[in-house]
Amino acid sequence: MIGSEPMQQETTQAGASSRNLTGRRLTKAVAIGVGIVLLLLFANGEQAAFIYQNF
Amino acid sequence: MNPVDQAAVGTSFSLASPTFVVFAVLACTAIALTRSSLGASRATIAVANIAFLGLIGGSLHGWIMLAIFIHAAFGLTWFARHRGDVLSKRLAIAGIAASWLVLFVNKNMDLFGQISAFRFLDVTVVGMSYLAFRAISVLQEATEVEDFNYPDFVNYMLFFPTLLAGPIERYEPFKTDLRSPRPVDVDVALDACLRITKGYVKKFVLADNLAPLGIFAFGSEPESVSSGMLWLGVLAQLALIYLDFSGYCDIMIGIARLLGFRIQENFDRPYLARNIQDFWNSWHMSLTFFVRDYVFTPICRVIFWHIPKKKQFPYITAAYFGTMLVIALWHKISLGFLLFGIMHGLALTYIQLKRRYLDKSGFAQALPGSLLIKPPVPVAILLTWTFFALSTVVWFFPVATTLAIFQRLVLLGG
Repeated sequence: MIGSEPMQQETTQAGASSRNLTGRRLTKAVAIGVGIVLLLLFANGEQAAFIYQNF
Repeated sequence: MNPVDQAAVGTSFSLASPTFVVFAVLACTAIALTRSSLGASRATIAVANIAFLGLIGGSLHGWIMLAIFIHAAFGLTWFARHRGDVLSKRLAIAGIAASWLVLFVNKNMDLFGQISAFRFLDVTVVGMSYLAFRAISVLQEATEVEDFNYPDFVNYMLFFPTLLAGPIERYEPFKTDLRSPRPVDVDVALDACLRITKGYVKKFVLADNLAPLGIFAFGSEPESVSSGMLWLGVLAQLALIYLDFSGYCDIMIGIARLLGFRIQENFDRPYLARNIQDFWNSWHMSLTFFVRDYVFTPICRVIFWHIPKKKQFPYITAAYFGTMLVIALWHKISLGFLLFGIMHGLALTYIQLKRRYLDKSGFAQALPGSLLIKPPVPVAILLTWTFFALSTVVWFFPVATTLAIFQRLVLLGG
Protein backbone atom coordinates (compact mmCIF):
# COMPACT_ATOMS: atom_id res chain seq x y z
CA MET A 1 0.00 0.00 0.00
CA ILE A 2 1.33 3.38 -0.99
CA GLY A 3 0.18 5.16 2.23
CA SER A 4 1.98 2.76 4.59
CA GLU A 5 5.41 3.11 2.94
CA PRO A 6 6.77 5.89 5.21
CA MET A 7 5.66 4.01 8.31
CA GLN A 8 7.26 0.80 7.01
CA GLN A 9 10.43 2.75 6.25
CA GLU A 10 10.50 4.21 9.77
CA THR A 11 9.94 0.76 11.30
CA THR A 12 12.73 -0.70 9.16
CA GLN A 13 15.08 2.17 10.13
CA ALA A 14 14.21 1.79 13.81
CA GLY A 15 14.81 -1.96 13.58
CA ALA A 16 18.16 -1.43 11.81
CA SER A 17 19.20 1.20 14.34
CA SER A 18 18.27 -1.11 17.23
CA ARG A 19 20.23 -3.97 15.61
CA ASN A 20 23.19 -1.61 15.12
CA LEU A 21 23.04 -0.59 18.78
CA THR A 22 22.88 -4.19 19.94
CA GLY A 23 25.71 -5.04 17.54
CA ARG A 24 27.87 -2.21 18.89
CA ARG A 25 27.19 -3.21 22.49
CA LEU A 26 27.97 -6.84 21.68
CA THR A 27 31.25 -5.85 19.98
CA LYS A 28 32.28 -3.80 23.04
CA ALA A 29 31.34 -6.64 25.41
CA VAL A 30 33.37 -9.10 23.30
CA ALA A 31 36.35 -6.67 23.25
CA ILE A 32 36.19 -6.39 27.06
CA GLY A 33 36.06 -10.20 27.30
CA VAL A 34 39.07 -10.55 24.96
CA GLY A 35 40.96 -7.97 27.06
CA ILE A 36 40.25 -9.86 30.27
CA VAL A 37 41.40 -13.15 28.67
CA LEU A 38 44.62 -11.42 27.48
CA LEU A 39 45.19 -10.10 31.00
CA LEU A 40 44.64 -13.52 32.54
CA LEU A 41 47.00 -15.14 30.04
CA PHE A 42 49.78 -12.59 29.74
CA ALA A 43 49.71 -10.16 32.68
CA ASN A 44 53.08 -10.27 34.34
CA GLY A 45 52.91 -11.17 38.03
CA GLU A 46 55.83 -8.89 38.95
CA GLN A 47 54.38 -5.56 37.92
CA ALA A 48 56.71 -2.61 37.51
CA ALA A 49 55.41 0.71 38.87
CA PHE A 50 53.78 3.11 36.42
CA ILE A 51 56.51 5.37 35.08
CA TYR A 52 54.66 8.60 35.86
CA GLN A 53 53.97 7.53 39.43
CA ASN A 54 57.66 8.33 39.89
CA PHE A 55 57.10 11.99 39.16
CA MET B 1 66.83 -4.21 38.43
CA ASN B 2 66.14 -1.70 35.65
CA PRO B 3 66.15 2.07 36.25
CA VAL B 4 62.35 2.27 36.17
CA ASP B 5 62.06 -0.23 39.04
CA GLN B 6 64.85 1.51 40.93
CA ALA B 7 63.00 4.80 40.70
CA ALA B 8 59.66 3.26 41.64
CA VAL B 9 57.66 4.95 44.33
CA GLY B 10 57.99 3.58 47.83
CA THR B 11 54.66 1.81 47.88
CA SER B 12 53.66 -1.77 47.15
CA PHE B 13 50.35 -0.53 45.80
CA SER B 14 49.37 -1.80 42.33
CA LEU B 15 46.37 -1.05 40.14
CA ALA B 16 46.39 -4.73 39.15
CA SER B 17 46.06 -5.96 42.73
CA PRO B 18 42.79 -7.67 43.73
CA THR B 19 42.54 -5.15 46.60
CA PHE B 20 42.37 -2.22 44.17
CA VAL B 21 39.89 -4.01 41.87
CA VAL B 22 37.58 -4.76 44.84
CA PHE B 23 38.00 -1.16 46.08
CA ALA B 24 37.15 0.27 42.62
CA VAL B 25 34.02 -1.91 42.27
CA LEU B 26 32.82 -1.00 45.78
CA ALA B 27 33.55 2.72 45.28
CA CYS B 28 31.77 2.86 41.90
CA THR B 29 28.73 1.00 43.29
CA ALA B 30 28.50 3.16 46.44
CA ILE B 31 28.87 6.41 44.50
CA ALA B 32 26.30 5.25 41.90
CA LEU B 33 23.81 4.48 44.70
CA THR B 34 24.20 7.92 46.30
CA ARG B 35 24.23 10.02 43.13
CA SER B 36 20.69 11.36 43.62
CA SER B 37 21.67 13.26 46.80
CA LEU B 38 24.49 15.82 46.65
CA GLY B 39 25.32 15.51 50.36
CA ALA B 40 25.42 11.70 50.28
CA SER B 41 27.40 11.71 47.04
CA ARG B 42 29.98 14.16 48.46
CA ALA B 43 30.32 12.04 51.61
CA THR B 44 30.69 8.78 49.65
CA ILE B 45 33.34 10.27 47.37
CA ALA B 46 35.19 11.60 50.44
CA VAL B 47 35.11 8.14 52.08
CA ALA B 48 36.34 6.54 48.81
CA ASN B 49 39.18 9.09 48.57
CA ILE B 50 40.28 8.46 52.15
CA ALA B 51 40.03 4.68 51.65
CA PHE B 52 42.23 5.03 48.54
CA LEU B 53 44.80 7.01 50.54
CA GLY B 54 44.75 4.18 53.08
CA LEU B 55 45.32 1.64 50.28
CA ILE B 56 48.39 3.39 48.91
CA GLY B 57 49.77 3.79 52.44
CA GLY B 58 52.18 6.37 53.79
CA SER B 59 53.70 7.54 57.05
CA LEU B 60 51.94 9.52 59.79
CA HIS B 61 54.22 12.49 59.06
CA GLY B 62 53.28 12.28 55.38
CA TRP B 63 49.57 12.36 56.30
CA ILE B 64 50.12 15.38 58.56
CA MET B 65 51.97 17.18 55.76
CA LEU B 66 49.14 16.33 53.37
CA ALA B 67 46.51 17.71 55.79
CA ILE B 68 48.53 20.92 56.35
CA PHE B 69 49.04 21.44 52.62
CA ILE B 70 45.37 20.95 51.71
CA HIS B 71 44.10 23.17 54.51
CA ALA B 72 46.64 25.91 53.76
CA ALA B 73 45.57 25.90 50.09
CA PHE B 74 41.89 26.02 51.11
CA GLY B 75 42.47 28.81 53.64
CA LEU B 76 44.42 30.99 51.22
CA THR B 77 41.87 30.52 48.42
CA TRP B 78 38.97 31.25 50.79
CA PHE B 79 40.77 34.34 52.13
CA ALA B 80 41.51 35.64 48.62
CA ARG B 81 37.87 35.21 47.60
CA HIS B 82 36.25 36.69 50.70
CA ARG B 83 38.60 39.54 51.50
CA GLY B 84 39.65 40.47 47.97
CA ASP B 85 42.08 43.10 49.34
CA VAL B 86 45.79 43.57 48.72
CA LEU B 87 46.84 41.41 51.68
CA SER B 88 44.72 38.45 50.57
CA LYS B 89 46.05 38.77 47.00
CA ARG B 90 49.63 38.81 48.30
CA LEU B 91 48.91 35.77 50.47
CA ALA B 92 47.44 33.94 47.46
CA ILE B 93 50.58 34.75 45.46
CA ALA B 94 52.70 33.47 48.36
CA GLY B 95 50.57 30.29 48.36
CA ILE B 96 51.13 29.84 44.61
CA ALA B 97 54.89 30.35 45.06
CA ALA B 98 54.94 27.88 47.99
CA SER B 99 53.04 25.30 45.89
CA TRP B 100 55.54 25.67 43.04
CA LEU B 101 58.29 25.20 45.62
CA VAL B 102 56.59 22.02 46.87
CA LEU B 103 56.33 20.85 43.24
CA PHE B 104 60.08 21.12 42.73
CA VAL B 105 61.37 20.33 46.25
CA ASN B 106 59.12 17.31 46.82
CA LYS B 107 61.17 15.02 44.56
CA ASN B 108 64.51 16.62 45.31
CA MET B 109 64.78 16.44 49.11
CA ASP B 110 68.33 15.09 48.72
CA LEU B 111 69.38 18.40 47.14
CA PHE B 112 69.05 20.10 50.52
CA GLY B 113 71.03 17.45 52.41
CA GLN B 114 71.76 18.37 56.00
CA ILE B 115 69.94 21.70 55.88
CA SER B 116 66.59 20.02 55.23
CA ALA B 117 64.30 20.32 58.23
CA PHE B 118 62.70 17.03 57.25
CA ARG B 119 65.82 14.90 56.98
CA PHE B 120 64.81 12.88 60.06
CA LEU B 121 61.16 12.49 59.04
CA ASP B 122 59.51 10.49 56.28
CA VAL B 123 57.19 13.16 54.88
CA THR B 124 56.72 11.48 51.49
CA VAL B 125 53.24 11.95 50.10
CA VAL B 126 52.46 9.84 47.03
CA GLY B 127 51.04 12.03 44.26
CA MET B 128 52.28 15.25 45.97
CA SER B 129 53.18 16.82 42.60
CA TYR B 130 49.64 16.46 41.38
CA LEU B 131 48.24 17.86 44.65
CA ALA B 132 50.50 20.88 44.17
CA PHE B 133 49.29 21.28 40.55
CA ARG B 134 45.69 21.31 41.74
CA ALA B 135 46.45 23.79 44.55
CA ILE B 136 48.16 26.16 42.08
CA SER B 137 45.20 25.89 39.71
CA VAL B 138 42.63 26.79 42.41
CA LEU B 139 44.76 29.61 43.88
CA GLN B 140 45.37 31.12 40.42
CA GLU B 141 41.64 31.12 39.74
CA ALA B 142 40.60 31.95 43.30
CA THR B 143 38.55 35.00 42.39
CA GLU B 144 36.92 33.42 39.33
CA VAL B 145 35.75 30.18 40.95
CA GLU B 146 32.04 30.21 41.77
CA ASP B 147 30.57 28.83 44.98
CA PHE B 148 33.83 27.71 46.58
CA ASN B 149 33.35 25.40 49.56
CA TYR B 150 35.32 23.04 51.78
CA PRO B 151 33.76 19.61 50.94
CA ASP B 152 34.04 20.17 47.17
CA PHE B 153 37.61 21.46 47.49
CA VAL B 154 38.82 18.51 49.59
CA ASN B 155 37.12 16.05 47.22
CA TYR B 156 38.77 17.84 44.28
CA MET B 157 42.22 17.69 45.86
CA LEU B 158 41.96 14.03 46.86
CA PHE B 159 39.79 12.67 44.00
CA PHE B 160 41.21 9.16 43.83
CA PRO B 161 41.13 8.59 40.04
CA THR B 162 43.46 11.57 39.50
CA LEU B 163 45.42 11.47 42.77
CA LEU B 164 48.51 9.48 41.84
CA ALA B 165 49.55 10.74 38.41
CA GLY B 166 46.85 12.96 36.95
CA PRO B 167 45.44 13.89 34.51
CA ILE B 168 45.69 17.36 36.09
CA GLU B 169 42.01 18.25 36.46
CA ARG B 170 40.74 21.83 36.93
CA TYR B 171 38.39 22.73 39.80
CA GLU B 172 35.46 24.16 37.83
CA PRO B 173 34.69 21.13 35.58
CA PHE B 174 35.22 18.79 38.57
CA LYS B 175 32.75 20.79 40.69
CA THR B 176 30.19 20.83 37.86
CA ASP B 177 30.34 17.03 37.53
CA LEU B 178 30.21 16.63 41.32
CA ARG B 179 27.08 18.81 41.57
CA SER B 180 25.29 17.21 38.62
CA PRO B 181 26.95 13.91 37.73
CA ARG B 182 26.80 12.83 34.10
CA PRO B 183 24.28 10.04 33.47
CA VAL B 184 25.79 6.56 33.42
CA ASP B 185 23.63 4.33 31.18
CA VAL B 186 24.48 0.96 29.60
CA ASP B 187 26.45 2.55 26.74
CA VAL B 188 28.49 4.86 28.99
CA ALA B 189 29.23 1.95 31.35
CA LEU B 190 30.28 -0.29 28.44
CA ASP B 191 32.52 2.47 27.00
CA ALA B 192 34.06 3.07 30.42
CA CYS B 193 34.69 -0.66 31.02
CA LEU B 194 36.22 -0.95 27.53
CA ARG B 195 38.49 2.02 28.29
CA ILE B 196 39.56 0.46 31.61
CA THR B 197 40.26 -2.92 29.93
CA LYS B 198 42.24 -1.16 27.18
CA GLY B 199 44.33 0.58 29.83
CA TYR B 200 45.05 -2.64 31.72
CA VAL B 201 46.03 -4.43 28.47
CA LYS B 202 48.30 -1.53 27.42
CA LYS B 203 50.15 -1.55 30.72
CA PHE B 204 50.10 -5.11 32.05
CA VAL B 205 50.06 -7.10 28.79
CA LEU B 206 51.99 -4.88 26.36
CA ALA B 207 54.23 -2.45 28.29
CA ASP B 208 55.30 -4.87 31.03
CA ASN B 209 55.94 -7.84 28.70
CA LEU B 210 57.74 -5.78 26.02
CA ALA B 211 59.81 -3.86 28.62
CA PRO B 212 63.00 -5.88 27.86
CA LEU B 213 63.02 -4.27 24.36
CA GLY B 214 63.37 -0.75 25.81
CA ILE B 215 66.73 0.85 26.53
CA PHE B 216 65.86 1.29 30.24
CA ALA B 217 66.09 -2.53 30.54
CA PHE B 218 69.57 -2.74 28.96
CA GLY B 219 71.35 -2.55 32.33
CA SER B 220 73.73 0.08 33.64
CA GLU B 221 76.02 0.03 30.57
CA PRO B 222 73.70 0.23 27.57
CA GLU B 223 76.47 1.81 25.47
CA SER B 224 78.12 -1.64 25.31
CA VAL B 225 75.17 -2.98 23.24
CA SER B 226 75.36 -2.90 19.39
CA SER B 227 74.16 0.32 17.79
CA GLY B 228 71.32 -1.49 15.98
CA MET B 229 69.98 -2.80 19.30
CA LEU B 230 70.48 0.66 20.83
CA TRP B 231 68.35 2.28 18.11
CA LEU B 232 65.66 -0.37 18.68
CA GLY B 233 65.90 0.18 22.44
CA VAL B 234 65.61 3.98 22.17
CA LEU B 235 62.67 3.96 19.74
CA ALA B 236 60.86 1.16 21.59
CA GLN B 237 61.33 2.85 24.98
CA LEU B 238 59.17 5.81 24.00
CA ALA B 239 56.44 3.42 22.80
CA LEU B 240 56.69 1.63 26.16
CA ILE B 241 56.43 4.91 28.10
CA TYR B 242 53.38 5.79 25.97
CA LEU B 243 51.72 2.40 26.62
CA ASP B 244 52.53 2.66 30.33
CA PHE B 245 51.31 6.21 30.93
CA SER B 246 48.37 6.26 28.51
CA GLY B 247 47.34 2.85 29.92
CA TYR B 248 47.27 4.37 33.42
CA CYS B 249 45.22 7.32 32.14
CA ASP B 250 42.77 5.00 30.32
CA ILE B 251 42.13 3.11 33.58
CA MET B 252 41.57 6.30 35.59
CA ILE B 253 39.49 8.10 32.93
CA GLY B 254 37.33 4.95 32.62
CA ILE B 255 36.81 4.71 36.41
CA ALA B 256 35.95 8.43 36.60
CA ARG B 257 33.43 7.97 33.80
CA LEU B 258 31.73 5.19 35.78
CA LEU B 259 31.47 7.67 38.66
CA GLY B 260 29.81 10.26 36.40
CA PHE B 261 32.90 12.46 35.91
CA ARG B 262 34.51 13.33 32.61
CA ILE B 263 38.16 14.12 33.33
CA GLN B 264 40.57 15.68 30.90
CA GLU B 265 42.21 13.49 28.25
CA ASN B 266 45.99 13.23 28.52
CA PHE B 267 46.92 11.83 25.09
CA ASP B 268 45.75 12.49 21.55
CA ARG B 269 47.73 10.14 19.28
CA PRO B 270 51.17 11.66 19.93
CA TYR B 271 52.69 9.01 17.63
CA LEU B 272 51.23 11.00 14.69
CA ALA B 273 52.77 14.35 15.74
CA ARG B 274 54.62 16.12 12.92
CA ASN B 275 56.85 18.31 15.07
CA ILE B 276 57.77 18.74 18.75
CA GLN B 277 55.15 21.43 19.34
CA ASP B 278 52.52 19.05 17.96
CA PHE B 279 53.93 16.32 20.16
CA TRP B 280 53.61 18.33 23.37
CA ASN B 281 50.05 19.28 22.40
CA SER B 282 49.16 15.58 22.28
CA TRP B 283 51.42 14.09 25.01
CA HIS B 284 50.67 14.53 28.74
CA MET B 285 48.28 17.24 27.55
CA SER B 286 47.00 18.14 31.01
CA LEU B 287 50.57 19.08 32.04
CA THR B 288 51.26 20.95 28.78
CA PHE B 289 48.02 22.94 29.08
CA PHE B 290 48.62 23.59 32.79
CA VAL B 291 52.07 25.07 32.11
CA ARG B 292 50.69 26.95 29.08
CA ASP B 293 47.89 28.53 31.16
CA TYR B 294 49.80 29.26 34.36
CA VAL B 295 53.37 29.92 33.13
CA PHE B 296 53.57 30.65 29.40
CA THR B 297 50.42 32.78 28.99
CA PRO B 298 51.10 35.08 32.01
CA ILE B 299 54.68 35.63 30.76
CA CYS B 300 53.38 36.43 27.27
CA ARG B 301 50.83 38.83 28.76
CA VAL B 302 53.66 40.73 30.46
CA ILE B 303 55.60 40.78 27.16
CA PHE B 304 52.58 42.10 25.23
CA TRP B 305 52.01 44.87 27.81
CA HIS B 306 55.58 46.06 28.27
CA ILE B 307 57.46 45.40 25.02
CA PRO B 308 56.82 47.04 21.65
CA LYS B 309 55.30 44.66 19.08
CA LYS B 310 58.35 44.69 16.80
CA LYS B 311 60.65 43.58 19.62
CA GLN B 312 58.40 40.88 21.10
CA PHE B 313 59.53 37.88 19.04
CA PRO B 314 62.79 37.01 20.89
CA TYR B 315 61.05 37.38 24.26
CA ILE B 316 58.21 35.07 23.24
CA THR B 317 60.73 32.55 21.91
CA ALA B 318 62.57 32.76 25.25
CA ALA B 319 59.22 32.16 27.00
CA TYR B 320 58.80 28.93 24.98
CA PHE B 321 62.31 27.90 26.01
CA GLY B 322 61.69 28.72 29.69
CA THR B 323 58.38 26.83 29.66
CA MET B 324 60.14 23.71 28.41
CA LEU B 325 62.71 24.04 31.20
CA VAL B 326 59.87 24.22 33.76
CA ILE B 327 58.27 21.06 32.29
CA ALA B 328 61.61 19.24 32.26
CA LEU B 329 62.77 20.23 35.76
CA TRP B 330 59.38 19.41 37.24
CA HIS B 331 60.19 15.74 36.53
CA LYS B 332 63.38 16.03 38.59
CA ILE B 333 66.04 18.65 39.22
CA SER B 334 69.04 16.94 37.63
CA LEU B 335 71.57 17.53 34.87
CA GLY B 336 69.80 14.92 32.74
CA PHE B 337 66.42 16.65 32.92
CA LEU B 338 68.09 20.01 32.36
CA LEU B 339 69.52 18.54 29.14
CA PHE B 340 66.03 17.21 28.28
CA GLY B 341 64.58 20.70 28.78
CA ILE B 342 67.32 22.35 26.70
CA MET B 343 66.79 19.87 23.83
CA HIS B 344 63.04 20.56 23.78
CA GLY B 345 63.52 24.30 24.32
CA LEU B 346 65.84 24.40 21.31
CA ALA B 347 63.38 22.34 19.25
CA LEU B 348 60.56 24.80 20.04
CA THR B 349 62.88 27.75 19.32
CA TYR B 350 63.70 26.20 15.92
CA ILE B 351 59.96 25.87 15.15
CA GLN B 352 59.37 29.55 16.02
CA LEU B 353 62.34 30.67 13.91
CA LYS B 354 61.30 28.41 11.03
CA ARG B 355 57.75 29.82 11.02
CA ARG B 356 59.00 33.39 11.10
CA TYR B 357 61.94 33.30 8.74
CA LEU B 358 62.24 30.03 6.81
CA ASP B 359 58.72 28.95 5.78
CA LYS B 360 58.18 31.99 3.53
CA SER B 361 61.76 32.22 2.27
CA GLY B 362 62.89 31.38 -1.26
CA PHE B 363 64.95 28.51 0.18
CA ALA B 364 61.76 26.83 1.45
CA GLN B 365 60.09 27.19 -1.96
CA ALA B 366 62.89 25.47 -3.90
CA LEU B 367 62.96 21.67 -3.99
CA PRO B 368 65.95 20.72 -1.77
CA GLY B 369 65.09 23.39 0.79
CA SER B 370 61.41 22.48 0.91
CA LEU B 371 62.29 18.81 1.60
CA LEU B 372 64.54 19.89 4.44
CA ILE B 373 62.19 22.46 5.96
CA LYS B 374 58.88 20.77 5.21
CA PRO B 375 59.64 17.04 4.98
CA PRO B 376 56.89 14.64 3.82
CA VAL B 377 54.44 13.78 6.61
CA PRO B 378 55.73 10.21 7.31
CA VAL B 379 59.32 11.54 7.51
CA ALA B 380 58.23 14.40 9.82
CA ILE B 381 56.41 11.91 12.10
CA LEU B 382 59.43 9.58 12.22
CA LEU B 383 61.82 12.50 12.93
CA THR B 384 59.59 13.80 15.74
CA TRP B 385 59.31 10.36 17.36
CA THR B 386 63.07 9.80 17.06
CA PHE B 387 63.88 13.20 18.59
CA PHE B 388 61.56 12.69 21.55
CA ALA B 389 62.77 9.10 22.04
CA LEU B 390 66.42 10.25 22.04
CA SER B 391 65.62 12.94 24.60
CA THR B 392 64.04 10.44 27.03
CA VAL B 393 67.38 8.58 27.31
CA VAL B 394 68.43 11.24 29.85
CA TRP B 395 65.51 10.38 32.13
CA PHE B 396 67.19 7.45 33.84
CA PHE B 397 70.82 7.39 32.73
CA PRO B 398 73.64 9.64 33.94
CA VAL B 399 74.67 12.34 31.45
CA ALA B 400 78.01 10.58 30.71
CA THR B 401 76.17 7.35 29.79
CA THR B 402 73.67 9.35 27.69
CA LEU B 403 76.49 10.97 25.72
CA ALA B 404 78.16 7.57 25.20
CA ILE B 405 74.82 6.20 23.93
CA PHE B 406 74.37 9.16 21.54
CA GLN B 407 77.93 8.70 20.28
CA ARG B 408 77.32 5.00 19.59
CA LEU B 409 73.99 5.73 17.88
CA VAL B 410 75.54 8.33 15.57
CA LEU B 411 78.71 6.40 14.77
CA LEU B 412 76.74 3.16 14.20
CA GLY B 413 79.63 1.16 15.62
CA GLY B 414 79.54 -2.45 16.93
